[in-house]
Formats: sequence, C-alpha cells, structure tokens
Amino acid sequence: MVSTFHGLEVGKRGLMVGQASIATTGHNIANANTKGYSRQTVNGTASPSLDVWINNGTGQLGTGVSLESITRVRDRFLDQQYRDQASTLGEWSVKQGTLERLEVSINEPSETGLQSAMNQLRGAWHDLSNDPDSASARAVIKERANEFVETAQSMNDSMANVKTDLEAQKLDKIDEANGILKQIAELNNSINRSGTQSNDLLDKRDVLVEELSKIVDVNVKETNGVYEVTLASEGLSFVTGSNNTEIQIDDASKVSGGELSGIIQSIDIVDKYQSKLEDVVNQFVAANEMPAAADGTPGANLFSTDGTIDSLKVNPDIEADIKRITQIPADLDNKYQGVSGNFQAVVSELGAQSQGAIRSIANHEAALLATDSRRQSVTGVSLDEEMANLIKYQHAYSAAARMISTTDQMLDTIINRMAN
Amino acid sequence: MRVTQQMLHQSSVRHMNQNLGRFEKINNQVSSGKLLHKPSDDPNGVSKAMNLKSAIAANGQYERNTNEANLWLDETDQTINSMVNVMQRVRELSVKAGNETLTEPDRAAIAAEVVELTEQMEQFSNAKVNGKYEMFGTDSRKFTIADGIEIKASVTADQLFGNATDGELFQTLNKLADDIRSGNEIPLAEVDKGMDRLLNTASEVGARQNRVESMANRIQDSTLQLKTMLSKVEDIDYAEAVIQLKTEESVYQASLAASAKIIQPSLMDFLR
Repeated sequence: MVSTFHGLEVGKRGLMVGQASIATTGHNIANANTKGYSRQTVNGTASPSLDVWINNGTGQLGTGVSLESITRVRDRFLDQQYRDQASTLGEWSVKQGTLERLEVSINEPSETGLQSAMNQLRGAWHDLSNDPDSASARAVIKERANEFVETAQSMNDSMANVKTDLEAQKLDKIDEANGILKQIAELNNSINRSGTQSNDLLDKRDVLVEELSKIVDVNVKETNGVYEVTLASEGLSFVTGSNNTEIQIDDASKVSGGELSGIIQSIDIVDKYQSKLEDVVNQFVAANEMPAAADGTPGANLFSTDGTIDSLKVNPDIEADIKRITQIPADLDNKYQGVSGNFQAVVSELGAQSQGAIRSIANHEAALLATDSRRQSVTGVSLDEEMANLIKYQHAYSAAARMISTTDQMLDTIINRMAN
Repeated sequence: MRVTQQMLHQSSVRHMNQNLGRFEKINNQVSSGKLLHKPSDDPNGVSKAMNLKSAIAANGQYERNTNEANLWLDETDQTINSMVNVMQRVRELSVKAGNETLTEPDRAAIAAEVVELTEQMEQFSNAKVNGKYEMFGTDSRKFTIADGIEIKASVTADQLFGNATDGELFQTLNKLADDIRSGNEIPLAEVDKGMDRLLNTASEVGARQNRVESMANRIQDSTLQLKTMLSKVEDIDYAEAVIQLKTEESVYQASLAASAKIIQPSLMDFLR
C-alpha cells in the first residue's frame, strides 16, 4: 500500500524542482549579457518509483521528480576554434596597427615627405648649375640639404618610437599573461574543490583562457575538470593543476600566434623598414658627391654620415663655408631618379604589406565573429526562450502546489469527515 | 539554428561598424578630393603618384633651365647682331679706303674710325650675361633642359672671332687700320671672312634658340600630360564618389533602422 502522505511528498518534490528551475531561469536572464556566461539548464529526472501490488503482480508507482544536476550548455569544439582564431586575430591586429603607424611615419603621399625634400634639393642643384657663381644658390642648397636631414631623421625617430612602444607593450603583455595564468591556476584549485559542476567558475576560467589565447596561442587539456595550459608552439607547460609557472621574457621568442607574437614580428617589421630607409638615405648621400671646382677647391660630399640616419648631417665644412659647395654632382639626375625609385619601392612595399594586414584582419575578424555567433547560438541566453521557460516553470510550480492542496483536501476528507 | 539576443546584438553592431567605416572612408575621399591618403590605400597608385610628382617637379626645373638658356642665347644673339652692324660699317670703310684718290689725311681719318670701331667690337666681346658671366669665354656654358639632354647656350671667343692661326678678328682689324693708314692693299677678304664667321655663329645661335623653344613647348606639354595622369591616379571622380557617398549613407541609415527594430522587442513586450 502507498503511504497516505505520498501525494504531499510528490507535490513537494515538484515544488522544489520548479523553484530550482525558476531560480536558474532568473540566473540566466540576469546573466544574459555577462561575458563568457553559458546558459544553465536544470536537469530533472523521475525519482525512483515504488513497487505497488496490482492485480497481476507488482506495478510501479511514480514518486515525482528529483533534481539530478544543473549543467551549463557548452561546445568544447567551438571553444577551441574560437581560441585559435582569437590568437590569429590578436597577432594580425598588432601587426596591422604597427604598419599603420609606419605609414604615418613615412608620410607619403605628401608635399612634405622625403620625396619632396629630394626633389627640392635636386632643383637647388640645377639652379646652381645655371648660375655657378651664385652664393644664394649655394645657401639654398645648404638649407635644402638640412631639410632633407630633418625629414629623414624625423621619419627615423618616429619609427624608433614605434619600436620603443612595442618593447614596452611586450613587457605589459607578458605581465598580463602571467596574471591570467595565475588566476587560471587558482580557478583550477577552486573547481577541484567544489566539483566539476561549478558552472560559473568553469565559465570564468574559460573567459580567462580566451583572454590568454588572444595574447599567446595556447593548448588546453582538461583532465578531471582541471585545465593544463601549454604553449602551442613549444609545448612549454604553464599551468598544471593549481600550480603555474610564469612566462619569461626569453620565452617570448618561442611563442607563435597571439598579440605577443604579433608584437615580436612587429619589432622585426619596424627594423626592416628602418634599415630600408637607411639604405635609401645612404644612396642619396652617395649621389651628392661633388667634383672639385674649376678653381681647385677640392670636391666633398654635401652630407656627412657614418652610415646611420642618426649621424646624418650636412657636411660641417660646408656648414662653415658654403663656398665648399663646388659644383653639381656628376650624373645627378640619373642618381636621384634611382634613389627616388628605391624609396618609392619601399613605400609601395609598406603599402602592400599594410593592405594585406588590413585584409587579413577583416577575414579573421569575420571568421571569429562567425565562430562566436555559432557559439552564442549554443551557449547564449535567449530571452524569449527564458521567458517561455519562466511561464512553463511557473505553471508547473502552481500545478505542484495544487497537488499539495488537493492532497490536503483528501486528508481532510479522511481525517475530519470519515469519523463522523 | 537557435538565435539569441547577443548574436543579434553582435551582428548588428558589427554591421553598423562596417557600414560606418565605409561611410567614413568615402566621406574622407569626398571632403579631401583625394583617393590616396596613405600607402595602403593603393600601394601601386601611391608609388605611381610619387613618381609623377617627381617628374612634374623635374619638368618645373627644366622649364627654369630653358628660361636660363634662352636668356643666354638671346643676349648672345643681340650682341652678335650689334657686332655684325659694326662690321658692316668696317667693311664700308675698307671699300672706301681702297679708293686710289684718297689723300693721306682722308685715310688717317678712315683709319681712326676703324680703330674706334675696333674698340667698340672689343667692348662687345667683353659683354657679360646677367652682368656676371663672360659671354664669349673659353668654355661654353651648358644647360640641362631635359632628362640627359644638355644644350650649349654660349659661344666661345675662338668660335666667334677665330683663333690666332686662322685670321683672328681683332688682329685683322688692327692690321686693317695700319694698312689703311699706310696706304697698303686693303685685306678685304680677311674682313669678309671675319664677318662670315659672325654671321654663321649668329645663325647657329638662332638654330639653338629654336631648339630650346621647341624643348620648352615639349616640357609644357609633358607637364600637362603628367598632371592629367596624376589627377587620374590620385583624384576622385566627384560624380561617382558623391553617388557612392549617398549609397553608403543610406546603407548606414538602413542598418541603424534595422538594428533599432531587431534589438528592441522580446517576448517580454508581449506578455502581460
């Protein structure tokens, strides 16, 4: 026989699960816009039934519902994809940012760039050739040469600034990554203690791993709910269980993907363009070698340099005495055209590289958003769905309450009416 | 596919951003009138534009060089013409001096005039261009009037007056004065030779003036062509750009309107 109070117990269980469901729905709604939150579902299951005697043997009588688990809805495969794409995007966005800054440094096309400084000096040489005795033509050459030096040096300085910023950024990113690694290890520890269903902690840890994957490309392995984080390129292990080791500055050269790798590549890019600029400037200096004058004043170079742009200046002899400007350098037009051509090639190369980076970013961004969108489709909170669920659970809760009041009436019938 | 509010939100934001980005780019082009602002806008175009600008700057310089060459040639031409006038008078006097009926004082008077004229010729021969440079020096002045093209814009003294072994003009004139004074035979042939040399040089200078002139015209044509090409590379086509601007504007506004419609309502708006 079934207990008289069985109905009360069944109703109570229904109330409990209904309440948990409504609370979880509320939790989902409240966290609809929380970063990295994955929606949670209450998994109820029918509780073990009771054997009851029926005509031909035993039957099973239901005992209501029991709360089996509250789990988060998550797709690990999409997570992995997201992390890979995030690190590629991180890498490219740093590179693109650097190239954009270099484009500003190189200041072309413009009326005030290196090209126009070269054109003006060329014009000044021609004016001297037209009027070989003129002191003013010489003064103009000297000033134009100074202008060229200033233009080249300001370009070089602004590239050097880009590099300095990148070096500082590198240290910041390593610090940031180390902070994240530490937090992941701590969360590993908490999750280990509170069990693998601590949904909100799991979400938090995944957010951290995503942030980390933007900085460096990492591999994540999960064993018994604990993450092991390793560097994708070298297999260096940074988090094992609740322990973490810090990324050292020397490790930075080993990373592939992510902002850190982007920064390291960017530093190389800046170096490359600085040395290209230096080549152009040195070629230009070589084109300004003056022959001796008719009156026997020995020839000299208009500039003096030890091969670096920093050391470039107008020849001090000329700065002291413009008569040392003897005459137009041999084959000036051809040489200038050669240098211009080389400089244009540098500008084009930078432009093409930057354009490529912009396109890459657009592609990776689209891919990342598509993945994120698919992930949102699985894990995101749909307010419509939650509202519908809320109504569903509310009705279930009301019905369970009615079950209790019905049982109460039944008991009233038995206890109070049957005796009379 | 299950669709969530965040997905809608993200994609709306992304599309609005993209549209605004394109709107900004075309707006920038229309307000500046230029297609190219940085190398990555069109790497090839930027390098082409830089090359064209250099060529235009070089042409500007060549134009100034041709003006300078013209100045030299003009002044040389005028001076030689004046010399020719003087020489014509010298020749007249030489012919006159050949007349047997002349008395000694007559010849002395003629010789004095020849000496006077010779002095004038010497002054001409020391003429300066721009008050600075010897017009008839020992070296010729050259001007670069186009890529790799140099033109001689001056005449050397040897060329104009002949050298010592070949009847130098001033020697001839001095001898002429002596011969007239002393009643010797007049060296008419040598005077003519000097005159011919002046005339030949004058016509050569004239020919060079023509050449410089035609080069100047060519430079102007080429500058115009280069500027047209530069404009094609770096300037926007206003009609096209403005239409595109309008298109981008309406696309952007449409994305704003669509986002406003999509983001707002949820089931909550319809539940009591």
